[in-house]
Amino acid sequence: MKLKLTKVITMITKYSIYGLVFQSLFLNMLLANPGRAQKNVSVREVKVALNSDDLTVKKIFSQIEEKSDFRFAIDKSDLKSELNQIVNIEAGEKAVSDILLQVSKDSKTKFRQINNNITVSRLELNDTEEIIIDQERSISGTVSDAQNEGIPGVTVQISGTTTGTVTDMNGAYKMSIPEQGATLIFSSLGFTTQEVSIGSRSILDVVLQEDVEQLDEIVVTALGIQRSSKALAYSVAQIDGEELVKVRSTNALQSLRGKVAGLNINGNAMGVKASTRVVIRGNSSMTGNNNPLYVIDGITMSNDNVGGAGMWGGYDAGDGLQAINPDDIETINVLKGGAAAALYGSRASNGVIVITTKSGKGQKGLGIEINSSVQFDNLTNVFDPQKSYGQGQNYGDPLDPLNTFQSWGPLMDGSSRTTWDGSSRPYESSGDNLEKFYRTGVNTANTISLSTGNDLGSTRLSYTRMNAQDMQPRSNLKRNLLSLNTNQKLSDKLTIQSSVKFIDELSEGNPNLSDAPNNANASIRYYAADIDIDDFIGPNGDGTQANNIDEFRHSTNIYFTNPNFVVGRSRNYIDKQRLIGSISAKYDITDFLYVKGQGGVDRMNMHLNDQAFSLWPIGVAFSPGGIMSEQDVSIRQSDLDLFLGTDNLRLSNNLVLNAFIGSGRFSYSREQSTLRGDNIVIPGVYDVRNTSSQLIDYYFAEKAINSVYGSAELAFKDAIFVSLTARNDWFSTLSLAGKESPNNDLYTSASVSAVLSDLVTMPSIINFAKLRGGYSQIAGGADNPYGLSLNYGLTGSHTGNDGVSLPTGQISGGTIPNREIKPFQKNESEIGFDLRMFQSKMTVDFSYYDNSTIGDIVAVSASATSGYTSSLANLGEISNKGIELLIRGTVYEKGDFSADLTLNYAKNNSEIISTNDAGDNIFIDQTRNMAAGVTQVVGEQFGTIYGSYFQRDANGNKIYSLNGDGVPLAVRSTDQKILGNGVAPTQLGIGTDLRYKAFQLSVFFEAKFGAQIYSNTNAFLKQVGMSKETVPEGGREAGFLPDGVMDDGSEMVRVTKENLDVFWANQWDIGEESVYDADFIRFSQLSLSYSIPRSITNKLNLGSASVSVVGKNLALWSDVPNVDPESAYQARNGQGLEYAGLPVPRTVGFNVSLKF
Amino acid sequence: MKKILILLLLISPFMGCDLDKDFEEMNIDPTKGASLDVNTKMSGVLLRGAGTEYEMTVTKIIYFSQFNQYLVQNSYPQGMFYTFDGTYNAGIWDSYYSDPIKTIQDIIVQLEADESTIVGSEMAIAKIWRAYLFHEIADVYGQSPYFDAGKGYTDAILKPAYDPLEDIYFDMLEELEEAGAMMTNSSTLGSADFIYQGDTDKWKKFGNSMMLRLAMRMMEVDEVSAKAWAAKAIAGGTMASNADNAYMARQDGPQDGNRNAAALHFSKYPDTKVAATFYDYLDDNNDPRLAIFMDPASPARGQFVGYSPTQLDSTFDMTIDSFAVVNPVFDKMNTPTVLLNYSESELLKAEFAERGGTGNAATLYASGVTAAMKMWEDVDPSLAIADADVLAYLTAHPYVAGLDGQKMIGEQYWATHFFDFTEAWSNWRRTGYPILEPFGGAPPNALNVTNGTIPRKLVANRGEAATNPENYAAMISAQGNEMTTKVWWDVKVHPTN
Repeated sequence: MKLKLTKVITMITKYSIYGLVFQSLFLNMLLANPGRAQKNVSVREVKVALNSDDLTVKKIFSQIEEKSDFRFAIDKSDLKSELNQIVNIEAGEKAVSDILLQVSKDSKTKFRQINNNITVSRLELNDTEEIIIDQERSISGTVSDAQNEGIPGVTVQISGTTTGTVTDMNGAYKMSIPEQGATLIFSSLGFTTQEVSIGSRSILDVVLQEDVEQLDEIVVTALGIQRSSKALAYSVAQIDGEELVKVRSTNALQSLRGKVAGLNINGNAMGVKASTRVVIRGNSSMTGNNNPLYVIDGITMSNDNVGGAGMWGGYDAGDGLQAINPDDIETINVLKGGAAAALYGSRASNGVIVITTKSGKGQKGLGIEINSSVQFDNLTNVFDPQKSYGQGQNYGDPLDPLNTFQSWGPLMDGSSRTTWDGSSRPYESSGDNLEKFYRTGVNTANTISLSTGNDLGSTRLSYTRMNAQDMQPRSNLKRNLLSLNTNQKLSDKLTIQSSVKFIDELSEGNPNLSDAPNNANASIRYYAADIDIDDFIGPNGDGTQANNIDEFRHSTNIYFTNPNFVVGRSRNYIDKQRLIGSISAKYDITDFLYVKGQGGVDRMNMHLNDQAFSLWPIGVAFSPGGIMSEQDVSIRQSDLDLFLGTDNLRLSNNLVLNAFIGSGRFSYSREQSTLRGDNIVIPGVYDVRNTSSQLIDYYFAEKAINSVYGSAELAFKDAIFVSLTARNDWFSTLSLAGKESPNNDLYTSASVSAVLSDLVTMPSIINFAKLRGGYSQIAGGADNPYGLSLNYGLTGSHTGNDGVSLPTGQISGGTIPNREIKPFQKNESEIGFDLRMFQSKMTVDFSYYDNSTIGDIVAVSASATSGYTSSLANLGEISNKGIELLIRGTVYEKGDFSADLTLNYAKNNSEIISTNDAGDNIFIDQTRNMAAGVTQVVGEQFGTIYGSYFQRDANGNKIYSLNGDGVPLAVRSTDQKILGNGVAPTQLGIGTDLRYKAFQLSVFFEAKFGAQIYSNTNAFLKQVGMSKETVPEGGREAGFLPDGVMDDGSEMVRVTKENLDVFWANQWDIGEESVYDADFIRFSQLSLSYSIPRSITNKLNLGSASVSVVGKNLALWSDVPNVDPESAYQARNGQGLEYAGLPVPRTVGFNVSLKF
Repeated sequence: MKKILILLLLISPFMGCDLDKDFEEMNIDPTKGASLDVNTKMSGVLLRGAGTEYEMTVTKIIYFSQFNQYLVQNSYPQGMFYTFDGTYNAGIWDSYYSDPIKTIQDIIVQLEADESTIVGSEMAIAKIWRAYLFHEIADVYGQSPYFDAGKGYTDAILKPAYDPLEDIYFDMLEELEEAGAMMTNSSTLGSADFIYQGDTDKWKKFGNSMMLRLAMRMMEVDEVSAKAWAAKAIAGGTMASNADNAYMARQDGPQDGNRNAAALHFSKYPDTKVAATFYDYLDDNNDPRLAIFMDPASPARGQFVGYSPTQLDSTFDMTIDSFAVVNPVFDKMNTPTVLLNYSESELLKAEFAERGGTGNAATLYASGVTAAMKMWEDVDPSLAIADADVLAYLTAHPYVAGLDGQKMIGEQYWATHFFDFTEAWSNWRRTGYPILEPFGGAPPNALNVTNGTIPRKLVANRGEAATNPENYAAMISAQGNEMTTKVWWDVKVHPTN
């Protein structure tokens, strides 16, 4: 694509935002029903001037009615005499209350104000006062459910009183309320309780959500404590579980791509098993963990990414998140800001993702839900090589016909040619090798859940079976998930809750990424245009030779394994079991004081039998003896918390306190043992003992954090909220005998939220407006234990010339330890606002944040000649500033049709402020051809792509120099520079939901801008002559005139067709050559669903039923040739590096959902 | 504030405990030690310094064995075509600096600090081994970090300076002299010394032989110093017989490091063949080593064919079985590695004598050749060469004084160092012997970076441009960093046929 994508996209974006805003404004103005904006005033405040001193009561009333909004309600027949009573009042302006006081005295009447109505009645004998001007207001409205049907029997209660009423059959209610603003509590079994401040309204319609904590109202915050969203002084994004199952991913968080402003989600190119990289508000640690903390049902969850490819290849063994079934998720809350996370402690320095799983709450009787989905993964047309020139060198025949990775032969003409195995084949394009090799991936997920509930508790049990067949043959995933949630009120004061999840997973044939050995995705793209992958399948159909052992040779390069052999003979599997369980108990000491304890454990056991990563079957060309290994990994983490809190403690009429103090302990350990055997003795027997030599390896790591913490939130008039938190964490990873620097840190946060719409009069279009702001600190320790001192380890043993075997030792690790590492601190300021307009049809949520991590614990690069590759330092500083904008609106609504539009936009500017005293770079990762890598550079964004480049003259022209054969070759730099940035600073998501009767169409587009990618795949495609870039306009025959200057000032020399391979071979590993702008727009999701009408479901005895057609990654606009701009090979900090991944598929599928 | 928080401990799950009571203990790696005895470290550094698969494959075989025209390899022709590859260039750099250099520096610091024991011999052995490791880096890369190297932890030097090669050489020589002086009659290393089992007499000879090697390397650039140091080495006592040879015993696993690194390569790359240059040299001279170096199961003697430079253009295919391959003995994982041998010292002494030093060149030459032929029986009994065959060879090739003698010595040095590819290449660069016609075809291969000449240096790890930029740039401007750059002692105009 030649078009300047970025520019176009910026334009489209700009106009989309304008369009959305204008459209919303315009349509809503037309449709707006300007509600009865009633202003209630007291009789004490309104003054009227009577025109005479002596008037009848009746006259006085009519004059007041004329001069104010007050209306008198009188039973005339009953008060005839009183009304005609003459009252003596001085003429002139007087408060209505004063007038009425005189009237009361003279006529023995009394008054009661309800809103603007003043009822008049006779003063009774037992009335102590002569007049009761009791200003009261009434409030009325309808309580309905999400389907807009009234809910009968909802309790409506004035907060802090026993006064209340119950809705009628249609969900309507009406009641009196005190003059002072009050908060109504709407509660009903099966629905989320809502607290709504009345403000100045007299009509209050409420929609209750079925057992869902609403974005608008209740948000789960630290330690599972629920807060009203308006009390929150930080940005929280809540995603409904529905959103995750619309278009399913094997990794639930992948469904959030582009949907939450400020949440940057990346995967890697490993198909259905890929780990997910999630970064909130920019990367805040240069070398450490940048993933948020995951909390599931109040308990932190391990999200270790096991495995993952580096420059030398490897595969991803998945991450912790994959264990969560999207069907079980009720909501996901993304707590973006530091203030949000301050109470989760140091592990929350990268934000928190709170996952609440479904419970049986709100279910009356036994409920059964069945959900079934099937999705098909297919190749996209991203890979687009040249198909005109076949195998060969120097525009001639190949010197070695088995050298299949060179497409520098003459123009293919269909003539017969002797090929790699000596037989003749037509010299023509072999077609699409990727199409031939990959299969259609089939992913199925079936969930059945049973739930029940009553006034005292609820239970939900669900079982999911997930089966995924990846596009790469023999790569399969089978997952069983069992989930049980219960909560039970044991007594009036004691409630317990428990959650258990068990996951059993078998993942086999995991595709390798990056470096070529055993990576089917590498070789397959590099065969010359006339080479057919199917020719290398071998006589046994599995890529072996006739002896049924040795790899069928497909190339002279033994490190590029025959893809047929990879899937036919190499084996690897991961057998994973995981148990996540938590229990919490809350005891209400008084009606405002409680104590709560909670504990949870996340335990994962994995068995990796891995012949693909470091081990290969006997016969593989690059390691003919074969290698195999077995690895057991056990990860355990637990949390224990105990705290004492107040629940809406009313300090005065206008002041409510929610506070708690507590303490907790987090502990973590990882243990892994590996058995490795070299040289398999009996082919096909996969037992480590069946090797000629064996090696045992053992790894252990353990760490813990102890904490004490407290929080206080003061609510003033239920409209201004002030929150203060403090926490002190002690880190085991920073503890060492004799260490002088602290191993703990105290950190605090303060934030304010003001609901402006409750405080001042807003224009009528605004229903709700909240301003929020806060400042927070979070301290953190080192990610890894044992980094404070130098350690020595044993590497094995050896037998010398005298036959005596002794152990051999060495210094462990390549990082220079630092015993004085202290906690780092991340500070964040945030301001933002929430607006709801046009009867809340449009919401706007905006945030600006500015955070910096000070004293980041980083491993600063050292010259390898120091004996180490890095040195641990505590001087890193990185800052992130950015904005987040979320706009949601109903842009059109008429009859059965409605259209919703969602737009979110986030921009983050990161900057590395310092690394160490010397401002040294921090090396993160580099690609296999070493042309470029990811490095942290002071003054630059996080994760620059750093590599070699073209030498240029003063005018920026590339300089070429003739080689011995007279071929102009680009002159490369001797040093490296910044070539781009691997992390996109700008991201955009636009989605729309269209509803017509029972149909709903949802589409979603995701876009990221401003990042670059180093594509080692494209570098390789250029070297082997398969990239279209190696075919000059008009073909190779006329040669190619490079755009640049000769080093000696002479005229630029044309590269002849015979020398094109030399030309490209020279520059394939110049980093700059294969850096591309990674901007993209992706049509990421589509779902068309149909809810089967009630008339039919009733007949079938179904509660509800829906079917949908879904699609993922349906279209992609990107300037990166041949690979998806998001096909990184790892989910760690080395973002923006790509090499030989599994193609990103296009997915289509179906969902069926039934409720009984 | 903190006091208030600590009060909250009253409701703590770990009530009554210090908040970090168990942390210091927890943060100690139970699988590692905070210190380690010198012997165990020494075992490790001797084993890894004796060569591992990585640098053996990517640098010594792929590059040096092909530069020296001992071997050729179809799948990795970089050493025939003299093309650049960052990984292969940096193999020795990456392997040595990352571990043996750092550990040997650590051992020396530990020995210096340890006043309670007599550390004379241990220190001497450590210094000798340090020189052995560093001289290979220095010869291969020229200017490189020496004085500051491996001191990231001990001296917090993250960006070591590159030292001029002459400074490195003179320091190594002084270190070897110092080591010889401090060596006592015994050492506590015992079996932990996998090479000599703590035999200080043998280490002393090893040190002097190394001194001789380094001295002779300077012969063309600083003859006066070279001769002075050579005389000192000879006076101190170099190796006296094949019994003094330094071997690293090998075994089949469990780690790659236990194994014979060359065998690991040969087992993976059956297309590693013997080059015609080396094959023909042995064959033409009726050298009895032909029978022990080549695979006897290959085609019958006389049919062995090596791979030659002129073949590169048209028949770039070595899958044909008639090419000679090395004796399967060298494919065995437990075949010992020869680190330094008596033959070399005798040949160097012969050259020293030939160039005006003490000794009788002809006698020393004969002694060197005899030792070279007889030493392989210690590697494997099947590699024994009969005394009569040695005698016949010497009779057929009597030593000729003068330049022809230097050529004979140079060729024998090459034959002696089959499998010590680095040393053979270094000696070739210094002396120009054997006279080699460059591989690479005519015109040179497209990716050739040397204009068709045999490389004179490897390119120091380009990653240094990012991690050690100033020092790296200074080295480039002072010396150059190309595969054609000549290092300090490489000044001789090579003889031609």
